[in-house]
Amino acid sequence: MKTDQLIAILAGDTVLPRRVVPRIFGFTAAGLVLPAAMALAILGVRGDLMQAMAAPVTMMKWLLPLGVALPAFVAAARLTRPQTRRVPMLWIALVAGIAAVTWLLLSVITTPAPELWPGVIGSSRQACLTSIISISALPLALAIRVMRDGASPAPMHCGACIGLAVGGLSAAIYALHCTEDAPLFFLTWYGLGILIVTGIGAVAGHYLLRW
Amino acid sequence: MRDGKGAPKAQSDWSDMMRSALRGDAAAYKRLLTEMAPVLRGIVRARASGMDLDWCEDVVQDSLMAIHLKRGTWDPGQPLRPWVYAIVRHKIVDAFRRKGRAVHVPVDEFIDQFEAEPGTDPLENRDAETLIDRLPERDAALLRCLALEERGSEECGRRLGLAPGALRVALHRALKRLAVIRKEEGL
Repeated sequence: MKTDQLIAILAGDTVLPRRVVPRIFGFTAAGLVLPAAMALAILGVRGDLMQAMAAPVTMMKWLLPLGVALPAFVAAARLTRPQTRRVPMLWIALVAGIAAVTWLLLSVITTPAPELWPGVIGSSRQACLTSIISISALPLALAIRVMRDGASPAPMHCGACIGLAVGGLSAAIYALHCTEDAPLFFLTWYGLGILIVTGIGAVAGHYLLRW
Repeated sequence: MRDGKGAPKAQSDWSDMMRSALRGDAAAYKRLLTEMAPVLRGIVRARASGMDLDWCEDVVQDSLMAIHLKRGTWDPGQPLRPWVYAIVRHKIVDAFRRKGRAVHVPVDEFIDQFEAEPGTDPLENRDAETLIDRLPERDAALLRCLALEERGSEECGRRLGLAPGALRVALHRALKRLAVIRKEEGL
């Protein structure tokens, strides 16, 4: 096929493209609604939600995941554009992540040795991981599907960012149910859940977002 | 077009043309792609370092297809050229990678002076027909009719029994599949 012939058929394709970025936000949000509603219907919302959201320590169960998720969400959207080279927004996510890791390390250091392991293990780690990952599945799949229309300069990073975003949002939703408020517990397992979803996003991005 | 021959075209030209194209102006779109092709060819050839002209033309075609299929990622509030150059850069790097060569292509060096000499004819791609053969039968027949035989869409639609609306969707899907096959085939 000559290039002129290719141009002629490209120009003959009159299906207009849809803007990618707004659809990423739309589809992810829409994909989150059903799994979130189901999870909360099955697990229930904690009774003292208002107090928990106002108390400085438990408040972090929402602030930290959202502090990571929202910048990562914007970064993922920006990374669907081919000319994007730097995403300064990710520094905010990084700061939230470093804060969480520092806090976890401080908690480990200040907890007496015999209490450390039981504190980390807690009593609901399986429900925690399972919930965060299953709430994430649908919105992540929808987001990646929309992002296949994108032209990412870094497909794996792009996938990791959307995984981080969806994982963080799912963790914040799970926190509406979860009553284990020890930082040792939630920093460990929320963090791990978010990282697993991030990893899934990175692998999916590597294979599915190439163009 | 409205600029004098040889004078660099105003930055806003391409952006305006793409904006019109995105509003459904097919003529502006065709003009834009036609103007872009020699610029892309110049960029690719300047970067090709030892690759033959067929290879270059394949990268130009890959870039044009990507520009077409990915134009929903362009923000109409931004100038078009940096977006186009980023796509070409991506396609050059990709093509080198498939040849097993890593390459660093600094995008800042892309400037209009790379436009290919006028009069250099695009080369015919040897493998294009085999690529089209790998598409599902209907897609292949449609692209062959439109591109290789250069029939109008009405005649192709009649021949393949496609109403105009169906042909429109079929063509779009066929191009998307062709892009995937070009990528897999590693031309």
